[in-house]
Amino acid sequence: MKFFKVLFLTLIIALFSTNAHAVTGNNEPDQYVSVRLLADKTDVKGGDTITIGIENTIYPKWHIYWINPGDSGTPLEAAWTTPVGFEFGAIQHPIPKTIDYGPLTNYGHEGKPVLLQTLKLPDTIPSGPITLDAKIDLLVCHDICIPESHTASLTLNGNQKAETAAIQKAQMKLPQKVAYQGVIREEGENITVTIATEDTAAFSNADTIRLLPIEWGIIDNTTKTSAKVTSDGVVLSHKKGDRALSEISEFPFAIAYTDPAGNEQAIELSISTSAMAAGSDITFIQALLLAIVGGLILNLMPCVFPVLSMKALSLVSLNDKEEKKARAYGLSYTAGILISFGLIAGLLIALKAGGAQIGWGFQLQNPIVIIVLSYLVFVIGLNLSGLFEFSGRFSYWGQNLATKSGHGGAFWTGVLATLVATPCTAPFMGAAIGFALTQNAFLSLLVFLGLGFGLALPYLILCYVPALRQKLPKPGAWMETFRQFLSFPMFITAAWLIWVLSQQAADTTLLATLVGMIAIVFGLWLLKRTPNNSLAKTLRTIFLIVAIVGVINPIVSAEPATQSISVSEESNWSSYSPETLSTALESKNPIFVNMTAAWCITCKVNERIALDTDKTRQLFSDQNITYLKGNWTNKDPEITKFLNQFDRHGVPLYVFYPAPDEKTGERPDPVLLPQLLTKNIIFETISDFDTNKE
Amino acid sequence: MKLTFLSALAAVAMIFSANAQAAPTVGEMAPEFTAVDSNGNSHNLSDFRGKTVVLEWTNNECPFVVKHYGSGNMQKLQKEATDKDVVWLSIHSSAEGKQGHVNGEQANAVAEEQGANATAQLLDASGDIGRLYNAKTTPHMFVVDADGNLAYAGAIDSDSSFKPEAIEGATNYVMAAIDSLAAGTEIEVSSTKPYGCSVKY
Repeated sequence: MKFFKVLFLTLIIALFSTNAHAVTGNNEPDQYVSVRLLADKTDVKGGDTITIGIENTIYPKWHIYWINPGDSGTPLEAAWTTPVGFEFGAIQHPIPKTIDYGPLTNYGHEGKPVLLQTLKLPDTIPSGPITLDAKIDLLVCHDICIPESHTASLTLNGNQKAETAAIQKAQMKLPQKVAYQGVIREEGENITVTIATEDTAAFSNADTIRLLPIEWGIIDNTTKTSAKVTSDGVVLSHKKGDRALSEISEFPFAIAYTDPAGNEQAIELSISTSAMAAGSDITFIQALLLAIVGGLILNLMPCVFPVLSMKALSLVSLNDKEEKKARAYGLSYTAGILISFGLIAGLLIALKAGGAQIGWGFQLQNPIVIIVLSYLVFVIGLNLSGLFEFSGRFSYWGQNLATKSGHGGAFWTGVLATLVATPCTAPFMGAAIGFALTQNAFLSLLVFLGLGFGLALPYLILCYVPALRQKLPKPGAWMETFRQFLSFPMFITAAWLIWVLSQQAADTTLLATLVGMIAIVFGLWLLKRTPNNSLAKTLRTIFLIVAIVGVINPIVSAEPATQSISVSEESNWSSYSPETLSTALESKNPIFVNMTAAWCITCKVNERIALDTDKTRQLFSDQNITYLKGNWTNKDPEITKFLNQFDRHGVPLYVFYPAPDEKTGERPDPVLLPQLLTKNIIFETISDFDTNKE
Repeated sequence: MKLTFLSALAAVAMIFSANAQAAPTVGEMAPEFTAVDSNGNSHNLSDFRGKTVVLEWTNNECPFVVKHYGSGNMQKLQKEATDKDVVWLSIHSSAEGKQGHVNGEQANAVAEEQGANATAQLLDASGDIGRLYNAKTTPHMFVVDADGNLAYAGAIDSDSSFKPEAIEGATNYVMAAIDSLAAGTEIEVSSTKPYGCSVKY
C-alpha cells in the first residue's frame, strides 16, 4: 500500500515536472534569433561596393546588443568565409534601445534589427555565382542570456534577389555621421558634452535626448541624460561612470532624440578629450586658494589701490575706543565686495547655464560697461585731485572716498572696489576662474567669493588688528598731497579704458564719451557755483540738464566699431579663426596661438615684454611659426569655444602646436604656456620641439 | 557671515564625502562588507587583511561563467591563486527566483560539481554586496591587496567572447594583478570593462 502511495506521488511529481518542462518547451523556441543575409545589390562586378544586411528576427521581448552593450552583454560578431580580396567594413548598428534591468542598463535591439556591413569586391571576381558564408555569434538576453551561433549565406550573381529598399530602410535607422565641433569635460559628478550645430530645431524634444557613448564606462548607464538646447548647439550632461575621461583620447558617441515629427533619430560623431586634460588639473581647494591670492593681488592694481589707500588711511583717525566701529566697517566693506562678486558670478553662471558662449571678462565686452567704468574712475580721480568734495547730496559717496567714514560708506566702497577691479585681470585669476566655470554653480560661486574675499582681506585685517593700524603713518598735511597724487593712477586707468573703447565702439561713440567726461567736469563746476539770482538759477539748471544729457549721450547712443582692427603689413601674425587654424594645422609648420583682448592688461604686458620683441619675432620667423592672434575684445563665440577647449574661460591664452613628427606625420599634443610670459618661456617651449636641434 | 561660510564649507564637505561613497575606485579602500558563506560562516572582508583577496561574481547558469568553468579555466585560476595564499571569494548575487540563485546547500553542490577551488562561496541574494561594489556582470572580478585597497576591477581576461576557445590567447588580468601584487610591481592594467551576463539582482 505504502509502495503504491509513493509510486503515485512520484508519478504526480514527474508529471508536473515534465508538464512544466513541456510548457516552456512549447512556448520557447530552440533559438531566440533567426538570421538572414541580404544585400542592396546581388548582381555585381569587380570593384563594386555593396551593402550587406544581417537581419535578426528576435523572439519577442528578447534583445541583442549594440556596439556598446552597456553594463553587460556583448555585440554580435560575424566571421565571413569568402574568396580572396573581399573587404568587409565594420558592423554598423541601428539606434539602440535603452533597456533597464534594475540597477543595470543595456543598450540593445529588439524586434527585427538589420545590422549593416559594407563589402568591397576586388577588381577581379570569380565568374558564376559567389556564395559568402557567415558564422554569426550573438548573445540574446531577456532575464537570462543565451549565446547562439548561426550560419547564414548570401549568394551574389546567382538566384538571390537584391533588396535595395530593405537596405535603405536599415540605413535610415543608423545614427547619421556628422562632423560637428564639440567639447567634453568632467564637471563635478557629471560628464558634459557640448556640441555646436545650427540645426538645433531637430533637438527640440530635449527630454528624449540620450547620450550614447561608444566607449564603455564613461557615463553611468542607468541615469538619464539631461540636455539643454541653446541657440548654437546642444549641451548634454550625464552622470559619470566608472572610467575616468582621461583614460581615452577620443570620445566617439551617438546622440539619439525624437525629432519634432516624432521620429527616432540619432547622430554619430567623435570628439577629442585630449585638449581638456591640459588645464583641469587643479583641485577645488587649490582653485579657492588661487582665487584668494588673485583677490589679494587685485588690491595692488592701479585702479583699486588709490580707493583702498584712502579708505585705509581713514582708519588712522579711529582711536582704540572705536574698536567695534572699525570691525563693523571691515565687515560692511567685505559684505559689499562679496555681494557684488556674488552678483557678477551669478550673472555669469546663469548666462553660461543658458548656453551663452561667454567667459571671464565678459563684462568688458560691452562698450556701455566700458563707458560707465571710465566715467567712474574719472570721477574718482577728480575727487582725489581735490577738484570737488562730495558733500550733502552725495553723502554716501562722500563717506566713501573722503577721510570720513560710515557704515554704508564702507559697504559702497566694497561695491566700488569690485567695480574698479574688474578691468584689472590679475594673473592668478585665470586658472581659478577657469576651474570655477567648469564646476557646478555652487562650487563656481564659492571660487568667485574666494576672489572677493581676497580683495577684501587686507582692509578687513586692518580693521580687526589695531596694532597694524598704529603702524600706519599719522595723519597730517602729507595726506592731502598723497591723495592728490593718487588721482593720477585713476586718470591713467580712464585713459586706458578710453583706448579699449576705441577698439570696441565707433569713432562717434568715442567722441561722445570724451565730451561726456567734459560734461561731468562742467556739471561739477556748475554745482560748486551758488547762484544769487533767479536768472542765474535758471541758467544753472539749464546747463546742468545739458551736462547730464552730455554724460548720458554716449551710453544711449553707443555704436559698435564699424570695422575690426586691420592687420598692418608689418605684423608677423594673422587673425585667428577656426578656418585659419585648421589650414595651419594641415601645414608642416609649428603654430603659436595668442588669445588676447584690448582690456586685458596681462595680455598687453606679455605682448610688450615677450611676444612683440625683435628676438621673439626672429625666433618665429626662423622656426617658420604660423602666429595666429585672436582678439576677444568684443564678443566672439569662436574664440570662446577655443578657450573652452583648453578649459579656460578668459584671456590671455597661449597655445603652441609643435610641428608634426617627421616620421609619423602626426602633430604632438598642443602645449599651453603660462599666463605670465617671458621670452625665456617662449624660447624654451619652442626649443623643446625644435626638430633641427641636435 | 562666519556662519554662512561654515555652512558652505560643510556643504562642500558633504559633496566630497558623497563622492567617496560612489562606486569603488581602484587605488582606494575596497568597501568593507560582512557576508555569510554556503556553510553558514560569517566573513568580513577585513578578516583577510594581510592577504590578497579576489572577489568573483558568479552565476553558474550564465554562459560567460560556463565559458570559464566548463573549460576548467576558473578552477585552474582559483587553484593557482589559493596556492599562493590568496583568498578567493565567489559571490552569488542572483536574487531569489532569478537565474543563478542558490542557497548554501545548492552553492556547495554547484561548487562541487564545478570542482571549484574557491576559499568560500558567499551568498548575497539581497544583492547588497553586489551593489556596494557596483558589480555588473558575471563574471565581474575585483582584486583587493593586503592593505585592503582595491587593486583591480573589471573583466577576468582580455577576450569578451562567450566562446571557450577565446580563453587561450587572452590575457588574464586577475592573474596578472595577483602576480604584480606578489612581486611588488605596478599593476599594468588595473581597470577594464567587465564582460558577461548582467548580475541578476
